[in-house]
Amino acid sequence: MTDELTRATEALREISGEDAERAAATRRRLQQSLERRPPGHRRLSSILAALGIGLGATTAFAFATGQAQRVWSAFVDDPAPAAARDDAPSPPTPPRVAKAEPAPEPVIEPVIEPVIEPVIEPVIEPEPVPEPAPPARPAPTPPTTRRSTGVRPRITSRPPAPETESAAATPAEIEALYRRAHELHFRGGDPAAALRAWDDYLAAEPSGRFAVDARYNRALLLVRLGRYREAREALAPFARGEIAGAYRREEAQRLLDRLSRLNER
Amino acid sequence: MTFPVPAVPSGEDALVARLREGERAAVEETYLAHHVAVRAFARRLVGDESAAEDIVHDAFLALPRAVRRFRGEASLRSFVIGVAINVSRRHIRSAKRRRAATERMAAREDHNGHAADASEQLRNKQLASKLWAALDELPIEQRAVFVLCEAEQRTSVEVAQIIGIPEGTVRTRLFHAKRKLREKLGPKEDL
Repeated sequence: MTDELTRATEALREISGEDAERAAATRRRLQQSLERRPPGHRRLSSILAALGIGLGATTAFAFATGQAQRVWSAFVDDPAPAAARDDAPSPPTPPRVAKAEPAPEPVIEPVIEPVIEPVIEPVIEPEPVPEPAPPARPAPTPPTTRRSTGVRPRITSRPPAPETESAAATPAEIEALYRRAHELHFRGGDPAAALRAWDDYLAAEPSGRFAVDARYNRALLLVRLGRYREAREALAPFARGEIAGAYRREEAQRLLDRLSRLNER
Repeated sequence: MTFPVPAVPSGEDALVARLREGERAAVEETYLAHHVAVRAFARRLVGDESAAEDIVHDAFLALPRAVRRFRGEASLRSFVIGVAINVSRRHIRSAKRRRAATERMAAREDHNGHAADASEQLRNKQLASKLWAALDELPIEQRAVFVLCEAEQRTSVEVAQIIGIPEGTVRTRLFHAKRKLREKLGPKEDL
């Protein structure tokens, strides 16, 4: 006799982690993320080591040239309690930092949980492809000239953004834009507003940390809004695996396939 | 009688040291050595391939920082799976939504006349989907223990090392997880 749970668990056991294509894509993505991440721990160690060596060298130099004794004498000749002055000043003991030792391990509290992402959670939710039929809205005419940006192809349906905006936006403003877009996308009920919000974010930070997520999300919104032609254009680079190490490649391809089926009907 | 704690393979010591230094090549080596196991676990845990990839990515990305807690009581692979459990918290909800969306799409496909495949593979998929839906109702602590013990058939000692909890707690969590899952999956069936 076996119950539903046992059979379902057996089904789970058959799932494998062997997937060469996904493994390679995730490896590329990991490499990119590692390149972007500053090696904070090592950098801090280096800074502390340099400070320690610098301080040690300075102190050693002061003792060698007699500067340290002069400083010490000036210190002990200051008016002080008589009892203290009666005792001959003992030769100054070199401070512990005098030795040019490597800096101590930086005091960093071990984290309980690895923290990878900032507070903002860049969740990408592929939404279900909407029902066919809503007549496509008149879409804004895509720019006729595409700028060749190499790694990150521009999405043609993006409204033109003032070039100066990205320079003017502060990190706090950018974060606010991202938060608003995220909120509208996942919790709001107005895809058009969410699309505008993603556009605002992308205009402020076209190559920012969440730009890839933002582009993918706006592509999904174009699908939801029935702007299929623009959606196809936006999804195409993802489906071709050109974005951020084949980010959401298969999902984008599935959506494109489905969009093409809708066209056929 | 006490059993010796399994020692870390000597080759791992150097790798762990390099990971602690934040060496990128060490992260890559670790990825190549253990990504299959971590991916399998992540897929079993969340039931969505994209979310599983996110978990794999995040776990290895977090490794140089997380490895400072590594004491060598378990293997590096077990440790990475422990990191994957920690990072999976933020992906479970999105995985649930994606699975729901995929199921809706599949239902529409069937409704539109695409023949439903009644193969064993599909039945397994449906069973697994039911289990993931039930797992969604469990706290992550119980969910992870269930997947590690039942789906991956690891011993409670090993799971205790991975998660960093006492072995008795593993057994308690497993007990509660199975009880809840049985309630959700319905009555027993004879085959």
